[in-house]
Amino acid sequence: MIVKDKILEVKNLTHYYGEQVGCEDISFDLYQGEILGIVGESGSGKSTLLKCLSGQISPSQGMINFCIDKSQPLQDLCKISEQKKRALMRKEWGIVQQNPRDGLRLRVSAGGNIAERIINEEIKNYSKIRNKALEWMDKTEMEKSRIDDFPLNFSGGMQQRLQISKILSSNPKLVYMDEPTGGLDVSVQAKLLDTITIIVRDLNVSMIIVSHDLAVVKFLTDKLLVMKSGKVVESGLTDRVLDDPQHSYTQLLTSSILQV
Amino acid sequence: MNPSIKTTNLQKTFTLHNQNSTELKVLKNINFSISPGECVALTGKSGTGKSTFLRMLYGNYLPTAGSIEILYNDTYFDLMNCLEHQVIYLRKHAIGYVSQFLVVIPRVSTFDIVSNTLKQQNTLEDNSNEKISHLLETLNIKKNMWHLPPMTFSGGEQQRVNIAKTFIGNYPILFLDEPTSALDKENTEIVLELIKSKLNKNVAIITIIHDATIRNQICTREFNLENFTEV
Amino acid sequence: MIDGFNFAYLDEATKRMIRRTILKAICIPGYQCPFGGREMPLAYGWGTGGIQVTASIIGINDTLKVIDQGADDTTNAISIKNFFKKVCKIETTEDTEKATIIQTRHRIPEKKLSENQILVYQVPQPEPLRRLEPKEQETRKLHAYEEYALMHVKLYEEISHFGSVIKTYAYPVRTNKRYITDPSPTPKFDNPKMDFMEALQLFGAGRERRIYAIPPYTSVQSLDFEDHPFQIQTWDERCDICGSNNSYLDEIIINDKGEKKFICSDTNYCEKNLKT
Repeated sequence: MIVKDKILEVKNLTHYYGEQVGCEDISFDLYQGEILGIVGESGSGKSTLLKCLSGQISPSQGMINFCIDKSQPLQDLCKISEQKKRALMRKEWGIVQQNPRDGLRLRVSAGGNIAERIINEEIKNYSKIRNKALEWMDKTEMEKSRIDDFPLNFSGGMQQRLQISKILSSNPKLVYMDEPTGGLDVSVQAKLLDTITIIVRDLNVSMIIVSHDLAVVKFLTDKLLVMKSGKVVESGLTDRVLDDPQHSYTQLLTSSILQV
Repeated sequence: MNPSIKTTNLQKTFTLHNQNSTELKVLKNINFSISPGECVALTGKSGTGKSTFLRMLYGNYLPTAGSIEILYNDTYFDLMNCLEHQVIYLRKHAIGYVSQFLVVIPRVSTFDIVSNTLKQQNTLEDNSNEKISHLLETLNIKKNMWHLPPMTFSGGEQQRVNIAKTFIGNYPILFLDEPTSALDKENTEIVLELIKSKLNKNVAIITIIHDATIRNQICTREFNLENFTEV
Repeated sequence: MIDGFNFAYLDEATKRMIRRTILKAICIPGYQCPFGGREMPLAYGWGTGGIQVTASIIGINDTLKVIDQGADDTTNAISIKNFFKKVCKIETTEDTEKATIIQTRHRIPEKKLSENQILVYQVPQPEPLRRLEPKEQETRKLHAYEEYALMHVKLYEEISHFGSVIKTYAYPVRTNKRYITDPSPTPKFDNPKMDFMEALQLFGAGRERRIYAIPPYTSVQSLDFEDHPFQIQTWDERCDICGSNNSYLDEIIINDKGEKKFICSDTNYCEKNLKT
């Protein structure tokens, strides 16, 4: 049998901003090691969905069942205490923010940023913390000599890598990425995507990547959710959705890609 | 012997929503099966749905109706009801696909592209480098090109890399879509030999080769899709 | 009423409110309790918090000592002492041993305090995480959920940039193994005195309107790393006046040539040491 652990089960997730629909009736499952892409134009609800999933906002309705412990049933994140949720956010998952200002402390050194997540693991030895930070910088192909520099002075690509190192240092089950290549040069994008690919395969980490860039999603993801006006209009294997789109909106999207 | 693949009443209609919901009924009522060691050639005029059929068997296209069953490890998997990660698993372990166009993974060297297949199948060992070298040499890919990504290679070279990438693996089923179309006579012969040795190992192969003389050298059976097309 | 003032300046209702806050603070060692700070006859930043705490607990039989940076005779210490003399007409003293209430700015007396004494600290910024996390909403959550990694990040930063923790005053401590507390801008030299101190320690921040407390015999541990343990300051010199080599020394420039002397910051301690 081909069996994998289910780490996330989303059921009827809905969020309203007052009268306005953010996202509506979203349901999907995610298994260990899978990379899910969420695509859609601005206003499709993908950012709202991401914020609900990553714990930044509490959804109006629905369930987000997460695997905290493989030997236990999934727990609904919408029902646990804020303290517990915050503890999980620091360890079990992380979000690479589109704007590094939201995901990093720009005036704390690169090492310090990573250290914050490691220290949460009760490691109170300076040398051990520093060595771990160096290890993770190495894995995301950052120059180790920049460990004491401030991310304020880093390039966009470096800032993204630092966010990734920081999150991976706690051995999370799931990494969220919000437009990971937005604002980066094409060659920098390419390098970053390569790094992400290697890490994900080596660590068997699951990922949910929100992007409006179909090329990125095609390259990185195993399966796809296509969103429009707050709803999922199509889902399935990435290559299937992009090569044989069924929904009118998906067909519109795929026909709009410029062929290089 | 149990068939490696079985389809029942398989049907494919494309609905183009943005072109006034035009419907293209490409294939219908296909009942097909192939057994280990068989080499079935899909035939039919251009546009009759040969590639479409193959892509459905790979999970790349969505059938409109019917079912597809794939045999792996003595179990049948109903492709329509598989979860995404199960289809991906089957693609890694059960079905190798040499497509007409190399899906170019940029920035990865030729050697790594080939060894990646072994990694995925968890069969990468100490002597794997020798196996990979041997296969690349057999396919006439010069050693000084192994560290280069195939993006700048000629069509024929890219196709041979594609073949190496798939043939290094241990797939019980292979799909070969025009595997020799860009190759000269010498390299075509080499590839045909490789295909024959796979058949000797009881691999089930479905292939599309428009050149009948080449086709007849390896295929045990033809399956004409014109019988399943609606005009 | 004394000369038109209610005893200790504050009205009784206010004192009651502040005492309730103090009781709450004592029950949750190191936790910052908000209180309704009143207008005091001096500006924020000059000890209004400490004064309000002292004013709420002082009684006619108390003896008050006020020190500023260890000294009884600096302007601010004298001003505050005179204020209380005026509105309470209580006994004041410079002798640490004789005081029942000691209000202090930025030092703990060298002489060990006892169970019948109360130490009142003047605190400018009660929130130890403020510089790292500017949002009050967030720091309250960090304390509530015991999410203190950020404080260790601060120490990490100092070690990585300077080779060791360079913070020498207001060195953060963990009170009763629970809340991270700012000991007020006392030198880290004084931190060990706070641990299991026999006297009650009260902290008042007037501008920020917070009171916190450390009851007697409470654990107070300075934060550090296993491999960079907490260390207090030491001097090669001795006090120029009394010869002490185990008190906190101030470095004083005595002339235009830049010549220096080192003398005890705690004036009363120095005086007594000299006599013996």
